Amino acid sequence: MKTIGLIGGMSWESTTTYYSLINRVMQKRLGGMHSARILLHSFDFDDIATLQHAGQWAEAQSCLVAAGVGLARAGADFLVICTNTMHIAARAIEKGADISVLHIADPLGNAICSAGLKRVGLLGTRFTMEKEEVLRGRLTDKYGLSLLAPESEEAREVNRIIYDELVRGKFLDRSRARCCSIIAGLVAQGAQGIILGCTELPLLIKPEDSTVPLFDTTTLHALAAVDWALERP
Amino acid sequence: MKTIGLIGGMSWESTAIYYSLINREVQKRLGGLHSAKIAMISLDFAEPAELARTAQWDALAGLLIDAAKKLEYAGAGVLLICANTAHRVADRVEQAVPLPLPHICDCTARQVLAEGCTRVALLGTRYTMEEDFYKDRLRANGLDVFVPDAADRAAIHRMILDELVLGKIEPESCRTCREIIARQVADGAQGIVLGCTELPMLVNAEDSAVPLFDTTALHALAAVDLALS
Repeated sequence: MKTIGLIGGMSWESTTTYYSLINRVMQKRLGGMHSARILLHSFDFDDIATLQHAGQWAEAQSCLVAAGVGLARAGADFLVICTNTMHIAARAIEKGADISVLHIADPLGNAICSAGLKRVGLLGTRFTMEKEEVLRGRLTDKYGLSLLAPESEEAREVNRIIYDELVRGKFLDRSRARCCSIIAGLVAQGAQGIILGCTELPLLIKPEDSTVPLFDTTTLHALAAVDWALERP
Repeated sequence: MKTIGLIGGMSWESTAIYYSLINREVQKRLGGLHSAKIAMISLDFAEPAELARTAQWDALAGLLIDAAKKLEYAGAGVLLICANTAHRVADRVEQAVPLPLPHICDCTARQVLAEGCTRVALLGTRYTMEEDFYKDRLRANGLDVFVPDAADRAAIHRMILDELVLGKIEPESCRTCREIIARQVADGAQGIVLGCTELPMLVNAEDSAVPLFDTTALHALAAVDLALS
């Protein structure tokens, strides 16, 4: 079994989901008292969110590269960045820490292709919905998917729900209803599935909130991490 | 804020509780989007569990010291061993790294005394209840400690290792645990020390006529105090 390096704390709620899911699946696959070998670097999210809001992405990226270097040195065999948004730093970490990063778009792209879908809606932070470097570019170039994101006002609303509520552990019915109607709008535009492209969104939105399949990046990413730990040469 | 180094995975269920408690407390105390700075090593539980079962304490100490050194190198300013049983080798880990390592018994004893209790019953794994290291450390803090009888000790040990560490919470076990607690109260316990990080999954305050001392929570809060001091 390989050692999984987690870069987490963005936010800690979703890191808990990663940690529990990876261990539960590892326990099931190996049996007995086994659990996963994990190294975790968990940030004070305020540090990272402050840089994000100020648009200081290079500085935020440097923080993650430093964390990646530390985890590699402590014995991680590969890294999992426990957030969609900060996948902007994936390539820099891979280079800076000289270690493989399991990119969140890969298990996601595979799952969408296996389901036979081509056109999918994308919800996440504004950055994730707009920037090619987080998920979009990889999903279109490598997996041939066509992506739909909400209109700018709705995009702002999803972003606000994530930063003002979900990362603070607030799960409100009216926000869930708002997300449902945004999802319905994307489906009306032809989305065959919806990507929950933020590790906090599955804490709010459940399969019954959508008429088309939801792709929960947290779960797909965590399951792929177990596969890598057990099977990757 | 200092980085809290967690030596976890013993089991991962209770490590997840430590991680959540510490973050929630830091969020509460600092406000905003703050969370704790944490460096964690989560072990494959099969290894330390086997070392404890076969009483290979030197090897267990070696495993934990190796983890502690990595966490020190990763910048930890305070270390926690996230398990009661593994505290059997806590002194050796503390000697091997120049970092504060709050002992789970000291954190617990402080709270027991603060609530005006002195005579407590200790529940935990067989190692925790039957070997001296845990009881002695509580006694050194001024507590009068006793443990359940042999049949009840065996029942608790079995529930922890066959069910709780695998995430199984059986209604039958909840009832057994309540009954065991009632017998300790009848024997004069003024409080119950839940000396296993898994036990709070099984019982809570309503299940006991006397205060329950959740060692996991007390240990986690002590770490937050140190990290923010």
